[in-house]
Amino acid sequence: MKITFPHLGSMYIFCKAIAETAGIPYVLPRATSNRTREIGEYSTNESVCLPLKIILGNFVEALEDGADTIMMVGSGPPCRLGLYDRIIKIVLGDMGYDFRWLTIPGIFNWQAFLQNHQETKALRKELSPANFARFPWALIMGWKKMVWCEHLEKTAAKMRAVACLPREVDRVFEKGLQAVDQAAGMTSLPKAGKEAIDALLSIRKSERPPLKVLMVGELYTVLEPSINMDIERRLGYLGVEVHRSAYFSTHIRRGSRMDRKLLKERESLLQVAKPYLNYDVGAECNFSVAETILAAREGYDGVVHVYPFSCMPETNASTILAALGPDLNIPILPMAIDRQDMGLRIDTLLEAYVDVMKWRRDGRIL
Amino acid sequence: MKIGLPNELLHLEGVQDFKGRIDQLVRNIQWIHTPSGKNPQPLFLDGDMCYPFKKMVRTSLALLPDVDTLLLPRIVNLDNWLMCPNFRALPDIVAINKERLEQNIGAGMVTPLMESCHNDQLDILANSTARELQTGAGHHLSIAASSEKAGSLAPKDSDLSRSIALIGHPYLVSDSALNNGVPDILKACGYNIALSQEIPFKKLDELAGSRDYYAKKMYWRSGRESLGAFLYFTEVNRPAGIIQLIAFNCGVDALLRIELMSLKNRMEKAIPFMALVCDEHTQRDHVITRIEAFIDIIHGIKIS
Repeated sequence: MKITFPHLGSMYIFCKAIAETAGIPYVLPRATSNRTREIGEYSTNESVCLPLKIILGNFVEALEDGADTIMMVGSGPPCRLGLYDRIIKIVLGDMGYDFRWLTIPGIFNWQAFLQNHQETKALRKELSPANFARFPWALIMGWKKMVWCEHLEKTAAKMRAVACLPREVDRVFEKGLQAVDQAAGMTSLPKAGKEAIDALLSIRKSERPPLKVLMVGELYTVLEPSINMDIERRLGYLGVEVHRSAYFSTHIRRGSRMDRKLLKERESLLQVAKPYLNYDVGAECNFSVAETILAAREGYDGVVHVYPFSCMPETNASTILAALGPDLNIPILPMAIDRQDMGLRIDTLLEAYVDVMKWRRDGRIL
Repeated sequence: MKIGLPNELLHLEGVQDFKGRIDQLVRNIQWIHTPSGKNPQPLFLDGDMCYPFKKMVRTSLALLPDVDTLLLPRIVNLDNWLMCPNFRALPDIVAINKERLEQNIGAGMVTPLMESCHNDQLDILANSTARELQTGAGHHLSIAASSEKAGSLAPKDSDLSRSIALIGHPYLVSDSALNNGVPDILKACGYNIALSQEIPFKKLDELAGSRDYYAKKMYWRSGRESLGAFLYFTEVNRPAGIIQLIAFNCGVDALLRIELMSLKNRMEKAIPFMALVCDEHTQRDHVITRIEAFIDIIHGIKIS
């Protein structure tokens, strides 16, 4: 058995840690490239959203590299993500691949449990008691690594906006991620994480005051740089501190419905969005609206709304944000991301957007 | 009393049923479904949205000057299956645009929440909506909806050999402005039309259920309708061909298209099947050419 998983920000470190600690063989999918995209585009159709295309490409490349078992993050309705696994299985089957499948349920319920039970029937036979015994420990290890990765990502986003040489932040950040990834014990992990944070914080800073922007939108697009065209980094180079609306751990905690704080937060966000949206549209739609309202209240300089082209919940959020921006007097940049080489276009857009925010801060435009 | 209800929504069985019940409860309703003339255009409407949704918003806003009240149900689910997320936000998007229109439009909006699924609950919802329409009270009721309509056609032995089946969202299949007149073109080519809407939803749901496994159910109602119809027209009663009408950028159709094409490719004796994408920019001439080619394929198969 060789298990594989899709790329979703630094989630690969989480999955890898679980596999390594539990002693399960795995294949790390190749870094997302143009080829990855093209595989997804060629095998689906024009209205399928970019995350599905890229995840499909990740899986094809991992299967080419010898993986035989796919692990996929699930979700519930009404967003399409809840049916990704159903459709990707069909496409891979039609492409002639032979594989086994395991969905990590986005919502934990009986049906998801039974499905998992069914999906792991063959896998369980291939795992030894030692694998099972180490699994709880592996989950803890994976979780801790993920938390460190997210801590690093947040620190890097802050430092990129103020560093004299923002690219140095990227170098130190990559090194830090590697160290966290390679740390194998409960004592070496915090040491590696702390050292990486210290290294990031010790980078020479400039005097320029950073702009503060919140990135909201569809979860996968917010988290995965290869989907969002690395907007966080591009904005960082322009002196913008980017805060994300959610991280991978947020998705897991929301899905588990066990974190009372997050459940309360969810309810309160739905309330905040009420003047504009009177019903939960699904996925992150209402959160995008609510978080934008909160960002305006908290004095953010702007909000970037990222979503894949044709994303059903987020096109509604985008419409509402277009009305909300002038109401709250906050610049909102909607970015419907699809394929193609959009890099230069995005740079131009972001430069103009940053100029607007700077002028507003200087009082040159109101 | 002039009540506006966008014609695109009327293609949904549940909405038709709901309208019928309100008609029985409130006298002297003059229903207006199509705008009369020059209309306010939406200020805020994401260009990436599917064409049917954009048209629903435009029609809703355009109806406002002509009516006393706009009835715009927030349709969350029908027959226990979900509608796409756009239907949840439709009343809010229309309200946001209405508030920002330059001319002051006095028409109110009533937006009952169609969320659950029993006939008696639909009566309760119709009752409360009727009260709202009469009193002009606020909006956002929340009760229930169902479209347990008996369905008419689809006897197993009806001859569909000179028919082409059209499957897709009800509004797409029925509204010629959205489908570029596909049914008329097919009729002009000498073919009859078999619609998925003519088969009882219960039957379609049952067929679609054969593809479900555990949590991985096709949870959209229109998805189940199209999938069930495809299975019906391939396994129960075969027409000469099947055309799937797809709204460009529709998330439901995008996934379903993959599943249906895969099912078709796995058939031993595949039926001619074509996906036709409809959007604002589709030209009728292109549609005619594709349909002609499709019919040639059907003829070719018969010759061979």
